Amino acid sequence: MVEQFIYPNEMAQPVIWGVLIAIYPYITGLVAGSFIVSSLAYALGKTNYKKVAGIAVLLSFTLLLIAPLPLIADLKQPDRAWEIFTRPHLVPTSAYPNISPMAVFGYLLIGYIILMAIEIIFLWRADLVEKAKNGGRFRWLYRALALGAKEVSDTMLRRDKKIVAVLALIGIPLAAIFHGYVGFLFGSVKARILWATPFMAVDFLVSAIVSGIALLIVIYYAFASYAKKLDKNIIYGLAGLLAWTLLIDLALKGTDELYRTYHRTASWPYLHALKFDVMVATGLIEFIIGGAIPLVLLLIPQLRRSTPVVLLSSFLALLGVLAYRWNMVIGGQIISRTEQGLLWYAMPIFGKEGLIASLGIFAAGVLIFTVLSWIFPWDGKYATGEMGGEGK
Amino acid sequence: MSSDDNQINRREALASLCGVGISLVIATPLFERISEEGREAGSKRWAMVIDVSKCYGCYACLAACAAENNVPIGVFRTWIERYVKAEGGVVFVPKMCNHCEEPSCVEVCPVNATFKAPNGEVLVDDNICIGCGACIQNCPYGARFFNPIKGVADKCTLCNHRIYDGKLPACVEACPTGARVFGDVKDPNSELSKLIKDNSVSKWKPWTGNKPMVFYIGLPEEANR
Repeated sequence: MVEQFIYPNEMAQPVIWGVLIAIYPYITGLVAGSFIVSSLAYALGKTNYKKVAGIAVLLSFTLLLIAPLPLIADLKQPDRAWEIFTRPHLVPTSAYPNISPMAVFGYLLIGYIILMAIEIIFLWRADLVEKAKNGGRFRWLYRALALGAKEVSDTMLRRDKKIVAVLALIGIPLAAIFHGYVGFLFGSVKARILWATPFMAVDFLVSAIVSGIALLIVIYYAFASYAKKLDKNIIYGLAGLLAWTLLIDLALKGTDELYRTYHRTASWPYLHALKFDVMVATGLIEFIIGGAIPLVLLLIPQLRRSTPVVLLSSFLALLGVLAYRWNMVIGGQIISRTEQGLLWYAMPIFGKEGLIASLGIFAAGVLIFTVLSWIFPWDGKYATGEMGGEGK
Repeated sequence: MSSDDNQINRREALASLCGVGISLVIATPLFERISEEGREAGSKRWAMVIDVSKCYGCYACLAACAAENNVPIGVFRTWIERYVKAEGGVVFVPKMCNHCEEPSCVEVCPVNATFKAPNGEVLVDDNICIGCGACIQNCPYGARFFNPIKGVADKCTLCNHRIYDGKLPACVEACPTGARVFGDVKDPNSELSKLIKDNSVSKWKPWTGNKPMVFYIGLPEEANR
């Protein structure tokens, strides 16, 4: 047992950012991950991912819409959340030195929402025109979302495709910054030894792509096999991407562990106790169940071509990335600011910062995704066809 | 072609709408100018000297601070750490917010709610703080906390409501042994400056780079964490 030394204020308030802030980088990671896969088809010419790109865009937009929810729920003054737009800490002055990474969130969010909304409209315009022609109660909605277009013409398709390509391309760095800033934000907290490394921004992004690809595999499989349109080549292609990104992710994490273990600074006994005493279960999920096992399964070519194995690996990878967020956010705060003590976290079940609130945020996402995929057909002939370029 | 004309006009209209929308969003900070009035560096630099050998752990400072500033039970704007030596004897080390010269807490506030006042004290504007907790995370000294009653970030204010009235902070006034000394480090004639000149002073965790402004006389190594 190591000697514990903590500050008095940490007795009453051991962990400041709880489960809500643990799921927030998970959600933004999924946003970035799914968007980057969709941009593979629309901007980077990998037309073999066309069929899944539609779902990817819808998933990304859904998660983007629910991303601010955990943040606002976590605030002690949520009714003042708008202040991040009217008085952001983006300009260093003598009274307000430096720049706050958290302040860029508002602008990134709005910019990204605008970009995705425009991309979605131009992506599905042609399909919505067809939907409007088929009549129905919501013809006015389809017509409005198609910006009033009545016929699908070649010029319209060509122009829309160019717009989508440009937006999908600009969106890649925007997605990277949208999720990367969270990693940088954690890295900027010098008082938390687990967070204050350059590694945070990088690996948050890499694991975001892991989770995005994994979610896409699962959702595409569910939608496509229900509609009896499953294209197994897409599953295999995504599985390959997942394998490589998992490899990079685990390599980065492994390197970080290696350095900390070798350096063994004064906080080492507490880091060690955190990993092997306090957070053993979630550590196992992050590294073994959700890390090494799916990696090994997917690196074996025969297993990679087996759909059940790919699905299992995707589920495990999703769990693993969630555990990583938990271990980083909660675990980082369990090590006291003294760097020589351990705190504790009792996750509330009820209340605005509890487990049920977090599940409710994901449920809101399911609702929004349902509505969006009902309006914008995930397998739209144009959205997952011509918009993604020529070729199968 | 008339339909093409319609489509071009629609596109231009959409583009200009987006442009207007984006400009409005970017311009939102202009809606609320953050006043720099009264924020230019002042002529003083408030600091504290704490003489560890003089503190005998009466905790009067803690009680006075809580009474003066309505600090709720369970959280502390200042506290005293008690170290029992193996060979016998006790050492009491008072600790508080260091009102750092480069406060890491101020840097991360997303809405400019916490700031460096002109004479160096680090304060929180209760009407602006959104309660995100970033400043509480980033204080390496554990000096900040969420005020459970007000729902905003809270910390030692150097009794800002007293020191500009010619009074001392409550903890300094309550201390019976004179272990806490408050003053202007820029004034060479202040008792504080003389204490710093005549004694070997050290800072609490200087490696954070925050440049804390509480000077300790006799801070034991075990307490320097």
